[in-house]
Amino acid sequence: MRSTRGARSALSLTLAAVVILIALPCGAGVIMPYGDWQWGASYQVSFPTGDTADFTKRTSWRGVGFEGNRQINMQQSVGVSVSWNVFHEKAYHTSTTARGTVSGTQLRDINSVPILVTTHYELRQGRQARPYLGIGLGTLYTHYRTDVGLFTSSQSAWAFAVAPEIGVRMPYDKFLGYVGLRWVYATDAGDLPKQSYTSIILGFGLR
Amino acid sequence: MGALAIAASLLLGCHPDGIESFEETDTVYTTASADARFDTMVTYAMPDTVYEILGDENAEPKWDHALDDAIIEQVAANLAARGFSRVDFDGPAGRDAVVLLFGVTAENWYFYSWYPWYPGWGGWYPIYPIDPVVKFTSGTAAVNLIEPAQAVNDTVKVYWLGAINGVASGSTNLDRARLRNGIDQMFTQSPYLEAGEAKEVRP
Repeated sequence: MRSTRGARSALSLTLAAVVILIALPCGAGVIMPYGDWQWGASYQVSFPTGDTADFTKRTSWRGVGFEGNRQINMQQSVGVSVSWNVFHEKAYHTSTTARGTVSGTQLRDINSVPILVTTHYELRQGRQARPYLGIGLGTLYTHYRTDVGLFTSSQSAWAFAVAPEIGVRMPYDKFLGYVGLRWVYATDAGDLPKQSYTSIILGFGLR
Repeated sequence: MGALAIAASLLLGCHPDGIESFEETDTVYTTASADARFDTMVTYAMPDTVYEILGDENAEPKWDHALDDAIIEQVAANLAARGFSRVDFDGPAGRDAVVLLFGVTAENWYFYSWYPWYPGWGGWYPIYPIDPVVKFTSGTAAVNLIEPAQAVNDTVKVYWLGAINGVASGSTNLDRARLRNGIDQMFTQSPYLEAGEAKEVRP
């Protein structure tokens, strides 16, 4: 029941985020004839923090992202972003629940999939490197899995997520390289706690 | 090593670093009844055997009784370190508690299907699926602390339970060492289990 409420809540907030992100530039009345989409794929390295780090402390070297951005004026773009970050840790743990205490070598995995509507604001135009500020709002799908010995437990949830980002875009002809630093934060949902991690994004795209 | 390879493939198919030894399959579980009163227990009796739990009366016994002595010795040593005195199981002396040891083995069957892929013209194509069926043996040793004097309608309550589960290695010496370590861990994670001490019992 909690998961259903959490999913509905995340969905409502995500829809609101989509409306806000689309309405903001329209309301400003500065739609420019820069309607081309830019598509990119990125490799991501992520550092868990907070409750996420309580479950897996190790840096995630397995992360990919795909994003599309549509330029709506000289400096601003809106788009969508989907990433997949996998956190993994192997360690000996002792866990206590209401029913007992379990010790053993645990394999802990988090599959984290932020699905975001994004907007980016470039601080400088031109053909040179373009620093940008961005933010994404949407939902985060999180799947926790714990293997200890011959036993496995898992939980998953959809939560509302926000992801501010800074970075630099480097256009070259029809291509685009980008480097970013994104902080992903999601509310607690279902049986899972708040999620947070910081990702280094190394991307390549077409424009 | 075959069993380890099987367990590893079962447990760790998608893990970048997974189980690398039989010991890493070991799981130690303990729990205690909230109304356990270890402060009233000082003496205990324990039979010199590990009873095997079988699925049905016609099942073939599989427990490796060469492990029994190691289990009994390690349980007795830990209980002594916690202030419990062992008395003869069949003797006339009274006892506050009884410790019963059980062993269970299980044959685990695992079926999985995967498609090897090979590079071909214009992409990767699946070839015939491989559907291996693998089997491995796992074992559980359980330590039960009961208080016969508190039996109700011939039913006794388990006040403390410790269990270790893992993949059988096929080496008695290795499994013996794993059981000793696991039994030590049972007591490490049960600090409330102390003879004559009224400590808060936590699961």
